[in-house]
Amino acid sequence: MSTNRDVSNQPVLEMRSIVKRFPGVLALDNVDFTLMPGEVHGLVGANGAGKSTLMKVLGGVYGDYRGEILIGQNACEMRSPREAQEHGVSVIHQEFSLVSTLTVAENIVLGMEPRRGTGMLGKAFLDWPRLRQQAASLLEELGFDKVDPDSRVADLSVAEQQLVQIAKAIAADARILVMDEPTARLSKAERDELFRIIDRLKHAGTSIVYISHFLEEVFQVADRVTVMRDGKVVAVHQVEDLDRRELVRLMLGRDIQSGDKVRVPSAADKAGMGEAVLSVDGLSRNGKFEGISFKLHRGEVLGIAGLVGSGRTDLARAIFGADGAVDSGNIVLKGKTYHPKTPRKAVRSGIALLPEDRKQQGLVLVRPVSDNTMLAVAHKLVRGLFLDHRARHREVDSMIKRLSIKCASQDVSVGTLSGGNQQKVVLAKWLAASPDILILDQPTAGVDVGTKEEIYVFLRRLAAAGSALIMISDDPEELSRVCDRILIMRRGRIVQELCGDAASGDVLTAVTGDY
Amino acid sequence: MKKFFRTYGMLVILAVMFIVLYSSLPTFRNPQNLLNLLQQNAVNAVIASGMTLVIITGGIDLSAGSTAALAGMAAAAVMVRHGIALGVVAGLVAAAAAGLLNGLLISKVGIVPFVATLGVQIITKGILFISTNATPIYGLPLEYMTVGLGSIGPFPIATSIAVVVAVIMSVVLKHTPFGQYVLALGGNEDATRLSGIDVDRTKTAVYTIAAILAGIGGLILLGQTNTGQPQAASGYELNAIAAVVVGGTPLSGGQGSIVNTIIGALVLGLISNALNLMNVSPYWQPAVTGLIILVAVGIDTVSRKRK
Repeated sequence: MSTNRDVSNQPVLEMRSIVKRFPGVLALDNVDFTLMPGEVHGLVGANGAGKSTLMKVLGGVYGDYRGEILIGQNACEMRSPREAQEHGVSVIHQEFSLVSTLTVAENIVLGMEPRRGTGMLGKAFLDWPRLRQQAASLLEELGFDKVDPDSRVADLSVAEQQLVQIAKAIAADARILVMDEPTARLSKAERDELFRIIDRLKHAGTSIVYISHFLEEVFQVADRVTVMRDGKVVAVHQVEDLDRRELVRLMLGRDIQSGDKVRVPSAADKAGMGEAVLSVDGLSRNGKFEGISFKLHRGEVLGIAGLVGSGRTDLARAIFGADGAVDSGNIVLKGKTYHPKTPRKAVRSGIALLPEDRKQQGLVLVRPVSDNTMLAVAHKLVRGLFLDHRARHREVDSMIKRLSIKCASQDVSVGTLSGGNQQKVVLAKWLAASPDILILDQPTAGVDVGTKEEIYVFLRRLAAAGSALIMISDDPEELSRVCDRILIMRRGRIVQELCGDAASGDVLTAVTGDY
Repeated sequence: MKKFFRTYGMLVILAVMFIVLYSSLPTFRNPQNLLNLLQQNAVNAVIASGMTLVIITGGIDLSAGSTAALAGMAAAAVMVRHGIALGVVAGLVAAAAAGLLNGLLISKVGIVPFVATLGVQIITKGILFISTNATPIYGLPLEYMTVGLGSIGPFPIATSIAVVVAVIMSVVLKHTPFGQYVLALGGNEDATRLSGIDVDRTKTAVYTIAAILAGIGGLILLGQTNTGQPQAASGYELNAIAAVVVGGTPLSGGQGSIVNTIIGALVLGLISNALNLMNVSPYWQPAVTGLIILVAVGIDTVSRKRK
């Protein structure tokens, strides 16, 4: 964005030769990182490159790092989140650290509540009017006037919660703001609003580290970019000196054919369109979606595009029976009437759903890779009453190979894997069940570029092998690259169908079109 | 090393305690005392095995003690008229009914386990007092006492029952699909449901199994006193929970093992046995037991944080 502003040449933050080791892994290998005042600094890299680890060191989460951290020329120790906060560092994680049962105002001043009282009880009581007023004036100052300081955080949208999180950081005097995948759960309009806010913050002198898998966003908001790979910094560039292709090459250490169709010829391509495995007719759920009709064919990848709240996720969950019976409409599955009521019934009928939130809905994080992979088929791989451990082990191993899941062994808990590898475990779980229909809700959210490509190719191969896939995504480019047809949803209805040759621009236009 | 301690820590503590007591207290190494030790802890080991399953699902069963009493009373009432076999069946059926009620309240109605099982506990106690006018049931067949106090060779029958229960439950947890579902739903109920598993049925089964085991505990207890007492086994659910947590199974769910719970039960049993032998006033015992629970869980929590 603007680079011709007058900024001081002294960095606000310098991290020098940072080393962080996990058992068996050198996560950060002598990493240097500098941040200038009023700078938006993109931090990119494939999953497992070390960017989150670096930011956790900065945020005081990993107190046992080695190396030097200077804040405004002064050496600092970041041994705890508290120390980081005292030095003006605030990290906004993908999962917000807000207390959802408290109000916006209470969250913003949490830990610094204004107090009052007299005599012996000098500071015993909360000063409620001042608390509310402080929060309200801060929200106004930041231009977040659509957020009501009195509403409960639990009642806010994701985008509004993010604004509260930012306001809270500013209230705590943060001069360095780290945003980890801030747009992952935002709609396009909300994203643009966030970019305006970032611009305003940086002009007010706040320095921002911006982590994102969406490279377009990095080009849009960042002044400089640091690229990490395998625990090292491989490049630092002014953003105007880079193009997308070069950036991807730096991240992956190799070239990638981006923008091209991921076209393994599928059964649908070869033999015209395969038979319809799923016919949905007039499916409705009150307040969520209405009159949804479409056909899904064997060997096809059918895309569904729509903004957050367009009903796309509710539709996917309805077909999978995740929210109980629908209000009206019919579904014919492989020639038979099918009433989705429970996920159990869906799975037994050959339907699988890769949910949008893998941590909350896709995985049992405390359990090992093996148990997660075998969860849906635990009742199948048995000898008599008992689990067939040998067969399970073999099956998990073959899944790990097939999807090239990176994990030390199949016995490590899934929670320790990177986002991309976690997503592969969810995929592995459903592949093990060999469903006829696989519904994928945002399969590449929070997944690095390299793994995304792997997933695309994998989905096309599945389709080529005769499965039918439904893919929901926020990313018009990936839809136009992977899908045979794309349905556009707006306000709970299918408003348009695009063929697979549609360019990503067409998809975007259709999704964000006028009502 | 750390991993070794995480896995075998409590076993090491149990072994050290045993060796110290064995070498320093002559009354402790008396074989009769050792057999008593095993016999006295059988009831808690059985109830705690069921409690482990419940806690792995992320729940809790506050009705375990009252269910044990219910099973004992039902068994006693039937036994005096219709003999031992029917009495045992009646006891187990009554216990299973209480467990089924817990399970349905939790999975179908959606009451949190703490409240649901607290309610069932209080109702059960009330029903026991109403139906018996708070009077004990005497006149049980004398042979029934073998269940509580008899032995095969030197080995107490009560302990044999506990061993069999623990082995079965351990196999169920580790080597059956059901066990996988229990562990998975404790770790993430939503993800487990969305994997096509009938979470409600699994939970109902867990509470029913736990209640049947509490019932078995109650039946052993009945064999030790040979009198059906409505206020029997009061507070036993807390001893069982203590054994589970001392064994290292986290209340957060998704993890845990029966073997750990048995070790936890033995550690607690060993302490109370030693205090007895050293003539420490019984009034001191709860305080010491409480301290042990906090120390054991404290060490476990701190070591988890440091990883």
